[in-house]
Amino acid sequence: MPFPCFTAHTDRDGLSFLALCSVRRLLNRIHQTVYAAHPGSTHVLTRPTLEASWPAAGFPETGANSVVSLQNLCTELVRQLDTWFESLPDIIRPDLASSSPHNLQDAWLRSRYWSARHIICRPCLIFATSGVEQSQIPSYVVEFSAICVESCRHYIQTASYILERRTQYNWMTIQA
Amino acid sequence: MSCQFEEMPAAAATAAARPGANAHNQTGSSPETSNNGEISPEPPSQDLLRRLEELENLVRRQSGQAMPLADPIPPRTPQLPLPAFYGSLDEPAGLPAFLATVFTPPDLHSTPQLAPNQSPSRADEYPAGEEPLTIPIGHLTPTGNLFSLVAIEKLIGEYPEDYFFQIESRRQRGPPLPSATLREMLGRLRTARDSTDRFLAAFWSEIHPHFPILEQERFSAFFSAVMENGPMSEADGALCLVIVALGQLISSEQPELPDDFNTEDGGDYFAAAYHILTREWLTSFDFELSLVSGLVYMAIYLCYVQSPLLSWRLVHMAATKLQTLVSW
Repeated sequence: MPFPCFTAHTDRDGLSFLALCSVRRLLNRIHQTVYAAHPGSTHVLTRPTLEASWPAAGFPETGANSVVSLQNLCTELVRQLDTWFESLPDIIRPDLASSSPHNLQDAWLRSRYWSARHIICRPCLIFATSGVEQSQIPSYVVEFSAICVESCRHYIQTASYILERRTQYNWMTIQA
Repeated sequence: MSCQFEEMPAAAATAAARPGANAHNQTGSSPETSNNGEISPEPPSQDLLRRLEELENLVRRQSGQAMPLADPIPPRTPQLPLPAFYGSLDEPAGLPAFLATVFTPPDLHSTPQLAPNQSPSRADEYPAGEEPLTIPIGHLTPTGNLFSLVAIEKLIGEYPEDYFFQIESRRQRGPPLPSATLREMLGRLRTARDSTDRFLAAFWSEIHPHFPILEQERFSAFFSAVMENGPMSEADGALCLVIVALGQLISSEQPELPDDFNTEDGGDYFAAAYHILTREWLTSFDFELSLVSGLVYMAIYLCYVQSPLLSWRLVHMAATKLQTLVSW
């Protein structure tokens, strides 16, 4: 039996499958840079107010390098995500202006996009809701918190489409 | 390098052989014995010390020298043809654009605060764009971790960190032992050819578009050969059973997802394939594509029946088998 093969760059199914594989790699990058816990690590965020607030919020140290602020992290990762999205072939790229997916493949790409977007910005939202004085919240934290909430809303809309039918991603859709 | 190391055993043997003989020649007697009859070692002679020193110098010279590199052993190329995109993963320029964006390092110019050669990746661990495709230890992105936050805990109370595993580990049970052997199962498929064809059609129309890892024409020929002539290996037959099981599952009109493996929804075919392939994974040490493919498709089946842990386990098993291909 031969190995699997991808030769037709116009194959919609193949392109969707590869797009989901590629965004998975981006999600791994997000996990590694923002969420990987390093006990005893000296790498902390550069902004003292955020550092002081992390333990109160119950949020561990992020994987941020000492020279990289969370703002740079979020900005760069959102940019990478948007670059990935814009580079999707037209035949598979979801139309985000429409809130309703066309089909399951469209729904999965949307759910991955919104899930990645919200995961990138989640630390900011958690910080903003951790009881910190409003005057101490940097403007970029507010901005990314808004992105996180908007992404969650879009994700829920997409998930409601997926969960109407039996798919192999139902469990994952609920847990993401 | 190999010839220099070959010198060592010879030199060592020579150095070891001479002292004893030399000492014997020098003293002309056997080892001394003490008054209680125990044999006491001979005092080392100067010649012995000289030999040992020669050996030590030989070892020191070989450790300090820049060893000439042996010709690198060329990687063994797999006998089977590689998929078209297999090699291109390391060549971003040859990829479709959306793949290339993920495999190239991020643009550092948009973030001037980053130090040179630093990306959002942790600079002290992985080069940019080469993070392992694994779930990092301690990451907190699943929904369950949100429930563990202090702020959420104030609303819902204590949420055990391993709550997901507590629930899922109680649910995850493999399928029961199959009711028939592989031969009998394949015989059933042959006998009920109409329903078999219907299940295969359902697989190609409903499952395959989302996981296009089999080529329909070639697999159909493979399946027909298995039906007519029998499988070349148990893994071949089990793979056919899994595909039919998936088709039967997706064809089921059950409105609710089964909590257990329903034999009417392909569960019996799945059970047979499950026990064959898991046993094959354990006992075979060759790479067999049917085994790996079967494990992956079984994982997909388990996703449909909401068994995430077991599904993950089968994917992990398939991945370890694939590593044997890469390591050849």
